[in-house]
Amino acid sequence: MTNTEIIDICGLNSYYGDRQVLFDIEFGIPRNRITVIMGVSGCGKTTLLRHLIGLKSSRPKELMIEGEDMGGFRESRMNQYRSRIGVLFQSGALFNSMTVADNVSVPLRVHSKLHKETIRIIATIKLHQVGLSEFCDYMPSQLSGGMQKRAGLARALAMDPEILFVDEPSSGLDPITAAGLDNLILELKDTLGMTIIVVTHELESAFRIADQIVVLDKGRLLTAGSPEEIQTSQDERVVQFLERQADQKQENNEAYIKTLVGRQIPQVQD
Amino acid sequence: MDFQTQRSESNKISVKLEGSLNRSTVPEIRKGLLKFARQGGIKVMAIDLSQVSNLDTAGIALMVEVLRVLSSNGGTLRLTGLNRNAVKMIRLSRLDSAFDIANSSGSGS
Repeated sequence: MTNTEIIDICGLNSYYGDRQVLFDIEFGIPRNRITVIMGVSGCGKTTLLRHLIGLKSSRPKELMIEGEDMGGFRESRMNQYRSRIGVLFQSGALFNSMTVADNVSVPLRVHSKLHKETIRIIATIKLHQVGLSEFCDYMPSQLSGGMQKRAGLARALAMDPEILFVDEPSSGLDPITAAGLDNLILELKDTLGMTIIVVTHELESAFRIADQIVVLDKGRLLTAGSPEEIQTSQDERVVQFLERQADQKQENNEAYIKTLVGRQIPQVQD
Repeated sequence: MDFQTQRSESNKISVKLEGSLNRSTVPEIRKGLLKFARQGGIKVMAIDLSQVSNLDTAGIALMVEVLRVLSSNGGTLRLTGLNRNAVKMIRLSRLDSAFDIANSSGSGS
């Protein structure tokens, strides 16, 4: 790990039951930069995010936060880490029983001793940053999906996090709103020096905001590098990913048919 | 977080803040700062932030609360001695037009 890296992933493996979904993932996340984690659906990028935010535990020495082993974090240390990070989940993950402003206030109520009036002002500031200050007293159900996502981002920003994790920021947003969100992410990095990790499968957004792009493929690290390095890569699978070509490998199709039919179907010879 | 006040004229009060002005320290000084803002006849409160090392959104929110109190009595809030980081934070909060900002080292950036 170099002193420019705030998080170092050193051979991370991950499982759901007996099924392995991440295989020996290894790369560093530089401080004050935007790292975009990409890959097609099911490649393991959201699982990786869950490890990084401490929702899924890691084995010793697999995940280092500023040189400290996250696998050894006790609850109090994990809470301390969580107070330094902000997370925008893919769905926005708002509490439906609270107003939008109250949703944004939740982290401050939990992690600070600020007066409720101060918290209310912070919530309004954060909602204004995402273009929603006129919707403070709305309920989440009164907002569109894209607005809920932006409200979720306001909540993720409520604590002025050092590290911001964003899962699929563009999904469900129209192109103009998505571009506005990209601009805000860039502004947060440029203005506050925030370290930002974005999980997305949107190529256009990734190349617009990333300092580093990490591409996962079937749970394995395919490549990591600058946007320029990714764009000029000669690796066949990287090129295939960039061209959004469907992976139609014959062995996968055979496995699919075997699952359906219960046996291998012999190939018909012309 | 420490602060010192000085009433230079009958309708003007100067406040100097020192240390971090963030979500950890704002609860310590909020009550005292608002008390000074509520004093009758204050037309200008000038807060010197030159010795503030760390300003976050909670610090800016406190400035907004002070401004609210002053405005309700016809007063204004002047912020002085802002470093580059403080100016950036205020701009990011889209509040640069709300405060009277003077002598800011980062104002030209």
